[in-house]
Amino acid sequence: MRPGAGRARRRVVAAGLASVAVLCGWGGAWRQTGSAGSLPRRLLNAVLPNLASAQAIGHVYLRAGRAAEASVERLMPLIFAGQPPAATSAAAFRTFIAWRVQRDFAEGAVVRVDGWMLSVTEARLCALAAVAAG
Amino acid sequence: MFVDARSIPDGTVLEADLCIVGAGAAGITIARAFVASGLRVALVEGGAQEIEQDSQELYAATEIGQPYPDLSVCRLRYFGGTTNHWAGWCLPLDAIDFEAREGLPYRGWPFDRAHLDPWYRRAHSVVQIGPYDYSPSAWGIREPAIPAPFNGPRFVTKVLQASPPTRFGPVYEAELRAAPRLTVYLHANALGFSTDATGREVQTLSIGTLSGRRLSLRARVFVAATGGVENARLLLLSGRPDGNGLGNAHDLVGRFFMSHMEFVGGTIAVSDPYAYFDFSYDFNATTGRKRPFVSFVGPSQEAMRELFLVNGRFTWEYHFGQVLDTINASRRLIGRGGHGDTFADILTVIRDLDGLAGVAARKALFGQGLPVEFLKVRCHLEQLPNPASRVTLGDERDPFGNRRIVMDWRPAAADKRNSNRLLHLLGTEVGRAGFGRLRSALAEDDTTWPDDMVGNAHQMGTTRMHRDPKLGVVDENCRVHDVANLYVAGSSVFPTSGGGNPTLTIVALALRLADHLKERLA
Repeated sequence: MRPGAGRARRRVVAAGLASVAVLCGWGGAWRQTGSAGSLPRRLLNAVLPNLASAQAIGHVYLRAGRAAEASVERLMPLIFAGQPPAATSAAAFRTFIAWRVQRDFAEGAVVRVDGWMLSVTEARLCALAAVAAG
Repeated sequence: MFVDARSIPDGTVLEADLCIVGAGAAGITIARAFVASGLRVALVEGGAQEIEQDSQELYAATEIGQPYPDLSVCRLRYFGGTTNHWAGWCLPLDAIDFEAREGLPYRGWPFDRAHLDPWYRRAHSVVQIGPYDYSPSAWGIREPAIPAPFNGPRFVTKVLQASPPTRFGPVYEAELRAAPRLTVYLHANALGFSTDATGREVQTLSIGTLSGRRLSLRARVFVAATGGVENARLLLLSGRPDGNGLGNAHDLVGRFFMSHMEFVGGTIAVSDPYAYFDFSYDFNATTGRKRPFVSFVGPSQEAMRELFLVNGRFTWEYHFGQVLDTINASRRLIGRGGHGDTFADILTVIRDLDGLAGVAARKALFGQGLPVEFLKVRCHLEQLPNPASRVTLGDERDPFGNRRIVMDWRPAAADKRNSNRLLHLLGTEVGRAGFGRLRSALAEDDTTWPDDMVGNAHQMGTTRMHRDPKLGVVDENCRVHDVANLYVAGSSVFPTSGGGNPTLTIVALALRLADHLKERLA
């Protein structure tokens, strides 16, 4: 197999799943509210407690030609590869995000934000912090 | 015996079995190999035993390419040569540096690293360094102390050994003085080699003194050991007056000039504030002595092979909390700041994301100390062989009427791509390991270099070694192709520069050449 073909295929599948999720009306699910607040809010509280910094990075990320991602409904499926999380505890979020970030770097799924080389997942988490703040 | 050439009558013809031109690391190493040989050896040095301005000025050159250090300053023209201000860092080339590699043109030495190992081992005593072992563990570096991204598989931690540094002139002068059949000629400037009518054998070396004397030296075998740039100049100035120099039938002399490219490649915001991991000075409790070395990080040979990269070294400049405080204070004062724009936010985000799980362990290893905020990444990268990067003879002439050097140093688009790819790999590895995040200082194009990019004083490649005379000036024995009795010693014969400092390899190759010449002259 051509080098990188598997990685490219996984990216296409992830993007496809995210699109399907939005088209199938999963968008609402991403905003579901429980006793501990909405899913995005609980995610952010778990992994990015210093929201102001995350928001600042998120705004830089979105301003660099990524306005199409600037919604919770768009970002949550991208962060979770289209599948709503099975476990939503703070520990589960931290484990999942750590795994995603590590995998992004291993697969070269990186973006430059103000020159910083970030994993696409962590950049989107920052964007989520920015859009969730309204 | 030491002789001042200015005291020799004008027109004298000197005689020797072996004539070595240049008393630097290579020339002195070869001369030392012959002190007990019974052969008549002439070591011809243009300078004196101390630096002299008029001699040093003979190294003046013109630059027309990428800015390069002043050649009349970074090279030293007196007994001991440039070892007189050598920093002393020693590192053998990696095995991969010797290999011909698909997709990377002009690479490949005529032999592999294993072939050179015996001479590398011997070179260690010449430059007065420790054992021929560069593994971190041999220098007391414990594996757990190396942060994850720099302990393989993509990047590895290595060591540079530190020579005292050996000043070849003062250190080996007594040995050379005591050699009964060896003569060191000082103030003896090599002006060119003269050949027989066929151009295939050198008959004499023309020598001039700045006081106006002209001498010549006949020998059975000649060695040019005048340095990475001057060797090419000497060949270009040699041969028939209407010719284009010796060893230059294929217009190779002076081409493929290489240096190591140095610049700040970027900044790493570190997740772990106790990420201090530079190692030096291994203390031996048995001997009570310190062995000096420094560690650095480089791409693994496996990563280079897999990703078509060439070699380099990364070292770090640590910046601590107070620096960040100052940056932030500046930001508040001026409203915003170049470096600080997103730095503080990035640092906060990655410390949230990466967590600080390893901090307690690292504090235990390194103590409290000041917390590190960021590292500047200093790059020392290999330049790919490039025929357009070259030294030539210009129109300006020195006091002997010989044409001076024009330096056209040209890092190419391929070098820029390699630099970007190495930094990209570094960025993904430090991120993957949760060590930090990199902001590269390199533009993503193929041509723009950072303002601080300079070539260092490592001058290599201008008389490169290759078995094929169409691809190299000297053969695998460092003999100039098609010239029966002329050899070249020094970094000018390097076909590739690798990531290491060149002096140890210069000395190893000089020892190897000396062994070859002993057989030939026996």
